[in-house]
This record gives sequence, C-alpha cells and structure tokens, in this order.
Amino acid sequence: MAGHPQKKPDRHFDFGRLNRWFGISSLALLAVTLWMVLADYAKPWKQFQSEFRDRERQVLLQQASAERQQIDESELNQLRQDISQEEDGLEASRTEIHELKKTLGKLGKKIYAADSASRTTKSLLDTARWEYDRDLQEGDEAAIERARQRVDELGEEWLENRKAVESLTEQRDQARDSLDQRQAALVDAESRLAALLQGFETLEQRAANLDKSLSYRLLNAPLLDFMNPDLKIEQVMLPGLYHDINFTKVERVDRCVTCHVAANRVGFDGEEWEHPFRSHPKMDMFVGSSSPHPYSRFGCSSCHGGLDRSTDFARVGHSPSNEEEMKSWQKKWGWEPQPYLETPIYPADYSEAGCFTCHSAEVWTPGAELQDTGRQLVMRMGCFVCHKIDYPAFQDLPRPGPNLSQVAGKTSSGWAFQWITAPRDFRPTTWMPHFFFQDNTSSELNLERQAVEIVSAVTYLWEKSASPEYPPPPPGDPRQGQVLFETVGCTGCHLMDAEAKRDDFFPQINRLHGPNLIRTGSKVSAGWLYSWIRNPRQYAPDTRMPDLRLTDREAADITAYLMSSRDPAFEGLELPEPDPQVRDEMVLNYLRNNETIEQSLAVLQEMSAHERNVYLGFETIQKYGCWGCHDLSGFEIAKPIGVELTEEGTKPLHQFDFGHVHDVPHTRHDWIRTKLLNPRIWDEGKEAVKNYAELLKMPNFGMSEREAEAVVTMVLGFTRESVEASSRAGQTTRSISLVEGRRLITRFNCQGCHLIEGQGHAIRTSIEDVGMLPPNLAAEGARVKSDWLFEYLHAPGAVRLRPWLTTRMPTFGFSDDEVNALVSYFAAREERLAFLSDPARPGARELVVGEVTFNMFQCAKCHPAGPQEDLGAGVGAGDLAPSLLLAKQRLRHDWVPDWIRDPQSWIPGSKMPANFPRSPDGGYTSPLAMAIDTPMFAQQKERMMRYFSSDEELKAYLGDADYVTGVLRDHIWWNLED
Amino acid sequence: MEAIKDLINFLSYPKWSFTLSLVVFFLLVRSKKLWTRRGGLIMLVAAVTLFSLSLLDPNFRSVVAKPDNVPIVMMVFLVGFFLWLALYKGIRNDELIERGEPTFEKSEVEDKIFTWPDLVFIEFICMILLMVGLVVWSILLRAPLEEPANLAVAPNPSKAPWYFLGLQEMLVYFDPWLAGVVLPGLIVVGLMAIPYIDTNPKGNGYYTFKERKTEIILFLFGFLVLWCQMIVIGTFLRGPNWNFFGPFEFWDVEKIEPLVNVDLSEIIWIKVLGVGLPSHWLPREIFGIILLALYFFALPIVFSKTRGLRRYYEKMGPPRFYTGVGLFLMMMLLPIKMYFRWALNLKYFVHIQEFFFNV
Repeated sequence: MAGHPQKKPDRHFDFGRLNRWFGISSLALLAVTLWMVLADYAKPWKQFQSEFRDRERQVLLQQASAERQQIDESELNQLRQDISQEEDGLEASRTEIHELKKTLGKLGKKIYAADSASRTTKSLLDTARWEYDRDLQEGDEAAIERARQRVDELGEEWLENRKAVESLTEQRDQARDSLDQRQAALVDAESRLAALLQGFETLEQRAANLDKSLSYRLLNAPLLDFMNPDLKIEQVMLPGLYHDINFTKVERVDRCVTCHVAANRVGFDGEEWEHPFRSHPKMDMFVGSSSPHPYSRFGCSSCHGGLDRSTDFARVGHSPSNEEEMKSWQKKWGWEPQPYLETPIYPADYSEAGCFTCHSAEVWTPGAELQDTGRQLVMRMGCFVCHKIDYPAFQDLPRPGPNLSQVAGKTSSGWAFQWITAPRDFRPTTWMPHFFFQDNTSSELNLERQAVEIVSAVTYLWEKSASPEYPPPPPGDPRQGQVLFETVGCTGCHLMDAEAKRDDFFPQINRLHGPNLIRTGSKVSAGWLYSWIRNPRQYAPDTRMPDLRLTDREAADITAYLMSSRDPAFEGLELPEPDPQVRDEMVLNYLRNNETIEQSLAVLQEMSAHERNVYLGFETIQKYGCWGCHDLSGFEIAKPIGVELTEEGTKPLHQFDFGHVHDVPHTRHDWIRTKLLNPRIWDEGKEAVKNYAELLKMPNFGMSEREAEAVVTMVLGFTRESVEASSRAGQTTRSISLVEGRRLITRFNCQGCHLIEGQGHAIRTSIEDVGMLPPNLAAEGARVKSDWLFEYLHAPGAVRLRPWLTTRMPTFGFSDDEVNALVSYFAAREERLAFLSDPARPGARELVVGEVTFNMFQCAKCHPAGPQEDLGAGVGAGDLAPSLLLAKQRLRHDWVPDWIRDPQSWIPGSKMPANFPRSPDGGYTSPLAMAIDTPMFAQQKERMMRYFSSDEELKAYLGDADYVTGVLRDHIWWNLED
Repeated sequence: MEAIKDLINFLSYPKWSFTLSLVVFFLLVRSKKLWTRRGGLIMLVAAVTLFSLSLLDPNFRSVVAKPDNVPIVMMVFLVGFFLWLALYKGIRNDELIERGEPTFEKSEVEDKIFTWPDLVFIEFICMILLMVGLVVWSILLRAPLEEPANLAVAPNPSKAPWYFLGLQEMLVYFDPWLAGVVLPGLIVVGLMAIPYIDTNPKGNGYYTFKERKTEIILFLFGFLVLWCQMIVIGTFLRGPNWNFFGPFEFWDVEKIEPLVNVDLSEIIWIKVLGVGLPSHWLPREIFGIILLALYFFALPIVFSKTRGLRRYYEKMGPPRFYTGVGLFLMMMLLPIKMYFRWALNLKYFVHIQEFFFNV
C-alpha cells in the first residue's frame, strides 16, 4: 500500500493520501491532548506544595540529625548491651520460649475458630427467635412448639460455644503471662531504648513520610492524580462568613493554604521561609487553633479579603504594595488589576482594615493598632459628620468642635476671620481643617469669593451668637498658674507648645484631645477664660471639658498664665469688608437655586448689605457643613453634606474619579490616601471650567503620611461584607460592656491621665515622677467595689484618695447611665461580678496575727493609716499609697490578699513591694516563717503564740502566703475600722 | 503618522465609514475580475500589513488583542477569504459557461460520488484538525473570565456576544422592539423564505456570479455591508457608554456626545411649519405614518411597474415579488434610517409613546 497511492475506481479521492492525513491529524490531536493535560497539570500551587515538601523534609532531617547528636552515646550503647545481655540470658530457656510461642500461635487459631462458630450460632439463634415470634403471631401451635425447641437448642449451643471461647482465651492469657515473665527484663530494656530514640525516630519517620517515593510519584502523576494525591487543593469551609453573590449569599470556602502551605502551621517563620512558605506571623492572635481567630473558623479571606475560592495568583486579588512589586508580579505571575473585584486582598500596609468587618461595633480593637488610630482620627477629625458612616462605632458621637452659640462673647470677629482662613497658622496642632485657599480655588476671582465667604460666615455667626459680658477676673500670678497648669491635670488633654505638630503624637492622640493653648491671650478675653475654667458647662452645656474644682485663686492664676501666651500678629484684627460685587453675585447664585432670575434680583435689591452678608454666611455654612462639627443655631436638622462612606471599602473602583492626575495608581487605597493628603487634587486642571459651587470642597486636614495611612486603614474596612451575627465580635454581655466603657473612655479622654488597657498616661510628659502619675487602672474592676466607684465617679471631689498627688480627678458631670456603663466596663474587663457580699468577721486569732504581720511588713510606712499624712523616713510624696482607712468601703475584699501577694501581676511597675517569693510549685511562700525567729520579732512572736499550740503550727501558718495575706486583709478590714 | 491615524479615526465614524463601505462595495463588485485573481493576494497582503502596522498603536492593540475579540479578527479574514473563494470560482465558471465548456464542478466529477467514505472521511479529518486548533487556542489564550459578577457594577461597555453585536448596533437607530424583536425575527424568517422566493435553479451545485448577479449582490449587501460591518463596528469601535471610538482612539469613559435627536413630527410641525405639536398622536405623527405607508405599500407597486424591475415581477409573480420587495424594503430601512439620523438628527419617523410604537 505504502508508496502506491490507492484509488479505487469508485472512489473520488486518493485514499492513501487521506489516510495519511487522518494519521497525521490524529497524532496531532493526541499530542495536543497530552499538552492540554500537562498544561492543566502545571499549576503553580502544585509546584509550591511539592517544593515545600522537599524543604520541610530537609528541615526534618536536619532536626533529626540534631536530635541524634543529643542522644548520649554511652547510654545508648549501655541499653543495647543490656538488651543483648538479656537476649543471651534467655538463650538457656530458648526451647521453652519457643514452645510457648508455638502454643500461643495454636491457641490464637483455636480462639478464632471457636469465636467464629459462636457468632454463627448467635446469628442462627436470633433468626430462630424471630421465627418463634412469627409463629406466635400466626397461632399454629405445632409450629410454635417446634420453634421454641429450636430456640432452646440453639441457646444451649451458643452457651457451649461461649464457654469454649472463654476457656481458650484463659489458656492463651496464661501462656502469654508466662512468656512475658520470662522476657520481662528484655521488654523493659527495649522500651527504654525506644523512649531514648523516640524523638529522633519520630522526626525521621516524618521525614520519611515526606519522601518522594515511587508511590508518591504515581499518585501525583498527571492523569493518575484523581485518586488520592498528596498535591491537592486544601480548603476550609467557613460557616457564618459569606460571600455576597447578588440576591444570595454563599458561605466562604477558603483555599489560600493551597499555596500558602505553611500559613496555618507553626514554625516556618525564619528568614529562609519566604512567601508562600511562611507561617502566619501572629499565630497567637490569628490562625492558631487556640487563638481567638482559629483558621478552621475564620480562614484567611474573611480578614485579608480576596477571592476565597481562587487558586490562581493573578485572579485571587493580590494587591501589590508598590510599583516595583507590581512589575515583578506582572512578569512572574501575569498579574493584572481586577477592577471589578469588590474586595481585593488588602495591601500589607492596610491589612488591619479587615478587622472592621467583624469588629464594627467596637471603639477600639486590641491588636489592630493602626486601624484603631484611624478610628480615633475619624472621630476626632469629624469625618463622620459630613460622611455618613453607618456603624455603631460612629453613632451618637459628640460634635468634634466647640459650641459656637455664644462665640461672640469669647473672641473677636476679626480673629475668627483670621482663624477660619488658616487655622493651622494660629494653632499648628488643630484638628480644624483648612476649607479655603486650596489648590482648586486659586484663581483671582475664586480667592476673592473665598474671602467673601469667610467674612459672611463670620457675620452670620456673630449675628446669631449671644454675646454675654464677662467681668475681668481677679488678678493672678502667671508663674503659679503655670505650675498649676502643669500639675493639676490640664496637660492630660491640652498642650502649651508652639513647636508641637500633630504627627509628633501619632498614634496616641490623647494630648490633642483639647486644643493646644498657645496664643490664648491673643484669642479670648481674660474674663471669658476665667469663667470658662471655673465652670465650662456654663458656656457650653454639652462640653467635654471637665470641672477641675479650681478655687478662685487657682483659676485666676491659670487664667493669668494662659493669657500671657500671646502673638501680636493675631491681635487687634478687624473683620474686613467683603467685595460687594463678588458678594452680590454669590448671593444671587444661591437665590437662583429656588427663584427665577428676575425674582432673585428683586429679592437681592430688597436686602441690605448686612442682610446679604448674613444670607451668604448661612449658605456658606450650609455649603461647607460647619454645623456638623460646631453646634450652630439654624442648622439643627441639616443633612450630612459628604458622600456616604458606609461601603467605601467595596465601592466599585470605577466610581473613584482620578481626574487628570496620572501618577496615582488606580486602586481604592491610593485614591483615598491621595484624597486625604490633598482633598482637592482631583480638580487639578478643572478649576477654570467648573462652577465655583461644583468644585471639590472637602477641607484639608493637613494630614501626615502616617495619619493618612491610619485613616485609609479604617476607611477600607467600611465594606458591604456580611458576617453572621454570631461570628461578629462584641456579641456577649461582657463585650457590650467593654464597648460601652471604651466609648466613654475615648469620649472623655480618660487615657490622657490614666493608664487603661496598657494605653494612656499621656500626661507623663509633664509629670516626671512616676509615683506622681494618676493611677494605673489596669485592675480597677477587680480592685474596687462597684458601688464605691459609682459614687466616686459621680463626685470625685468628695474624697481625696491620694492626697499627695497634685493632679486632680476632675468632675465630668457624668449621667447615671454613663457612670453605670463605666462601672460595668471595669467589672467586665476583669471578669468580675458587679457586686460582692460582705465577708464574715474573722476570729480573734486572725485579727491579732493580722495586726502583727501588718506591723512586721511596715505597711503603714507608705499607706498613711491616719488622716494626718505623716511621711515615714526616706519616703517621698511619690512613694505614698492610698490611705487604708478607705479600704473597707472602697476595695473588694477578695482582691486584697491577691494584690498583697503579687502586686506586679496586677499593676506592672507598682511601687507596692512584693514580699512573697514564688515557690517552686508555682504558689507563693511567706518569709515570715523564717523571720519570726529573729530577736527583733520576739515580742510579736510571743503575742501570737497565745493562739497557736506549737512553734511548728505558728510557723506553718506564717509560712502560708494565702493565710498571711488573708489576715492582713482582715486587719485592714476590721482593725482599722475607725 | 498621527495625521493618518486621525484621518482614519475620522473616516471610521459611521456616517463616513458607512458611505465609504457602500462605495467600496460597489467598486468591489465592479472590479471583481481584478481581485479574484492575483489582486486578491495583493489585497490580503495590504490588509495584513495595515493590520500589523495598526497593532503598533496601543489603543488599537488593546481593543483588538482582547481575548474576547480575537475570534472576530479571525472572522474578518475568514469572511474575506470565503468571499474571494466564492467569486473566484464563480467567475471562473462564468468564463467556462461562456465558452460552452462544462463548469469546474462538472468536470471534476462525472456523475455522483458517495457520501461515505468520500465526504464523511474528509469531514472527519476536518473535525479532528478543528479540534486540534481549538485545543491549542484554549491552551495558549486563557478564557477571559473576570471577577465574580457584581450587581452594582455592569461592565462598561456591556456587549452582547459577538454574533449579536450587529443587532446591538441597530439599537442605536431603532427602538428596542424593532431592533431587538421585529428585525431579527424578519432576518430569520427572510432567510428561511429565500428558497421560496428565489426559485431560480441556476447556480445549484456550482459557483456562478453572472447567472445570479442580482441575488448575489443583494445578499452580499445585506451580509457584508449591513451585518458584518455592524458586528465589526459593535466589536471594535463601540466603547464605554456605547459611544463611538475610531480604531486608534482611547476608550475614554468620560466621553460625552451631544444628545440632540428629534422626531420627524418635531421637524415638520415646529421647524418647517412653525406651529406647535398637535396634542393628539394621530395628527402629530401623520406625516411619519404617511411616509411609512408610502414606503411599504406604494413603493412595491411602483417597483412592479418600473421598467427594470418589471421583468422580476412577471417572472416571480405578485406574491413572491411583493414578499421579496417587502423584505428588501425592511432591510433598506436600516441604511435609510442611518442616513436620516446623520443628516437630520432624526430620532423616529413615527414616535407614538402612547402605544410604545416607535419607528
């Protein structure tokens, strides 16, 4: 056939050629099919898993050989020698052992046979019983009788069988015992050898399991890998965590660890483990099975974002951190942007954004520091007043700016003009943003328009403001005022520093809670300031500024000090006159929103110049949303002016307008970051053609890079991701109490003075002596009684707990609800019940021992026992501790012994000495058992011996730290009563 | 270079490109003898060169190289090839017929050949080779899957599958019920009706041009100028918001085109007559209705009496003739409406929003 084209007469084509074509095309199909299989097989994740397997095996082998090195050779040899000796020793009874083993073997077979017979009989018996039941139903007497007999027979047979099995088993056990007896020494030596080698052998076995043996290669070969391959997609189903796929939600199925092979395994975090072979860096917080966010419950994508089911680098939503990384990804993985992906993986810098999905009810989230800072900034800068942010954390927040309803009594309109023009010129740390004279409002006409807007806004404010007169304050001493300012507690919230920048305080913004008070003398009148310090609520009923209960004298001194900070550049300012033409044009434009041109002109004609200013002022305040931060009359029901941010983190990328700016990467986070740093940037090149009213108007907060990054982290967390309530944080009663407490702590800046949950003590910059700092509230909930705390928070001035402190706990004027929330917070944080029952009065012995030990420990040296505050020798004011007279009504009795035993575990850095060393078993020991024998304490010993039967008993009691601390508490409770 | 690109961009706007394509189409028909021989090769080389040069332009490349659009690029070349092949063979046969010799097909096979194995075997081999091609294609060019669909984000432009892009393009000129329901329905019905309208047995089993000149030109006009060109426009030249973009233009989402279309009633009542629009729909739309009535009912009668067309009328008989002309007029409505749109910004001839009747 070959070489001879065959063409039968009834065939139109040359079939030799067609056959050749058929052959070629079939081979081509085979080839491309194989190619397809290989192309399908060559998934990067398989390579990752395979490579990781090799590397893990290497590590295990190394560990095994290190383990082997650890094993003591001589011990090993000794054991081996023992074993061979024992074996030699058994040589004598070799035939006997052999016989025993043979018997065991035979018995094993017999038992099997007997057991099998017994089971057969049992099954026949069960059937016979059923047949009996059946015959009973049918009522055939003869058949019933037959069936009953059969049941009896089989029952007996089965019993016989069981007996046989049992006796055989007994024989076997006997044989086994006698064999074991003979071999006992050998078995013991062998098990010791096994124990010695266990670590090494386990590692070696694990390494061997990872060996790429022939079976591994077969099971993972292309086309054969459908059975039970080692290289496979690893996934975890995450009930309660959803993916929104339009009209329905599907539960997440996370496949990240298919490539990130070690992400949920501990121990792969050295330098040599690069992605995707690294362990999660915070296993105790995330992923780890005992962490609050175990892998099996939360997976990866519910926090990090990205497409949970994808196993393709380019499609899973990886976000490069920078251009360089992007380019290398493009080259290596064919990465490309996925503009329609709702939640790409958060870039490394913003990874905390994902926390908010579940932690949206919280005010701060321990562990998510950057996001927390972002959250504080959003609250402090007042983003939420213009932008609706529909999460519990941003509801019912106080207005970030001061109440302006009486501003005319406080400062001058000329100053206000200067201030609004550029707030940071006057006070570089201010949160008030720059609304005017930005990049997109720099044309000559627009400059003029802005000046007119500021003038008219100020005119409006002054028009609507009450202007109470303040009499001049009594004369004060500025130097004394400065001392007071720095010591009484003002500095927990306020700065007095012309050089300070906001960024210096990042991420702790407690000292920026109130304004930096530089140049105060050039801003307000002394009379107003004096009145304000004396009673802030008189001027602004809703202010968060507390009352420090200053005397007239103190208030006058502080007023004098603050008024001494001046800047001539901001004094004697007058409110300029607006350009009438520009103003009228703007007024007309506003009027035309509701009226025809003719009507507008008529209305304008009827207005006086002042009325025009006031009208334009109203519209300007409306336009810029000033009323959002400041309480202003006339704007009580106005609506937020900004874009809603509730789902900003999942807002489709194409809805972000990058304008004509070309050097910003097209990602959500870059857009938000750039916008925050320069809010008007997207108007670049558009000022000339846009209407003045249409220009971007978000004000410039003068954010630093770090501040912007924190806010971006927060805003990216505002997504439409949905999580079942049970998977969300803050669902328990305890966490609700925590959230409420934290909300108030943030609102009133408690951390400006106190240390709470490891954050705070911001005031320490002006108080050098650590002992003089306001108390650390680390253990407050465990320490104090709720009812006492309730009273104290209501009226902190009623009792001076630490009279040596210069700082004062201010009166915040909390409502009962607020105080209750704080009290519950402290109790909840320490997981304590809110209320305790009182302890029973102890016996006389305990009170005496308590008194003696109290003196032995010299407790009164630091704890002034009486009101007279005598200082012991070598004790400074900073070393003092609260009076113990208050203890009974203030402290929780169950906490006091715990505290005395180990103060450092409650409040790290406490000056309370630790008198009870730890014992080896983890408990505490008391040094008194030894100390009591020194001649110094002879008298005390004698006093106590009356209550103990022997010296040993006394020492046993005194050596017991629990007992000693208990009686100390009893002494404080009952002996110091009055 | 930029000037050339700008020129091409300008010319590719439908009002110019459509006119151009009409001219080119008739030139092609006239000059078929040139390009069905070696000229075809020259045209292929020219087309490939132009295409390759255009690939240097990033905007052109980004549209043409989209995995979705690759098959349509192939389609353009395939359509050209088969057009060439059909006319090449037809014209060869015409020459043979003129000389009184048997056609190419006749001389190849005396009588008949068997389906099996002669036909089936070849088809089978073709099937395997096609399979090879598809597999290779699917390995080399990944399926253009995107992110999970998002209710809130429709892709812009949202495009139908490529074979529907001609219809989608018609939506620019017609109301959806016409462009989306009536016209596609008529296309299907019309294609099915062809064997019953065109009963001419010439051309069965062999290629010819001369013997079926009118039919071929009519078909090619509908297929090439209307259908294929619209697909090409819809695929390559319609960008975000279904705005038109020249082949070298950047697809700018922000592009805004003026919306100034008006109805015929407005043109006549307001612009020409200078009186207001009548409130009742009948007088308001009467001119459009008359125009359409004349177009669909008077014109076929006129055709039947026209000298050149009269012989078709006689040959086909009234039912066939009127059905054919009706379908033809329906087809011609598209280019006519296009020209009215470009010339007068005409929105609808008849616009009765009371019954959602818009033509």
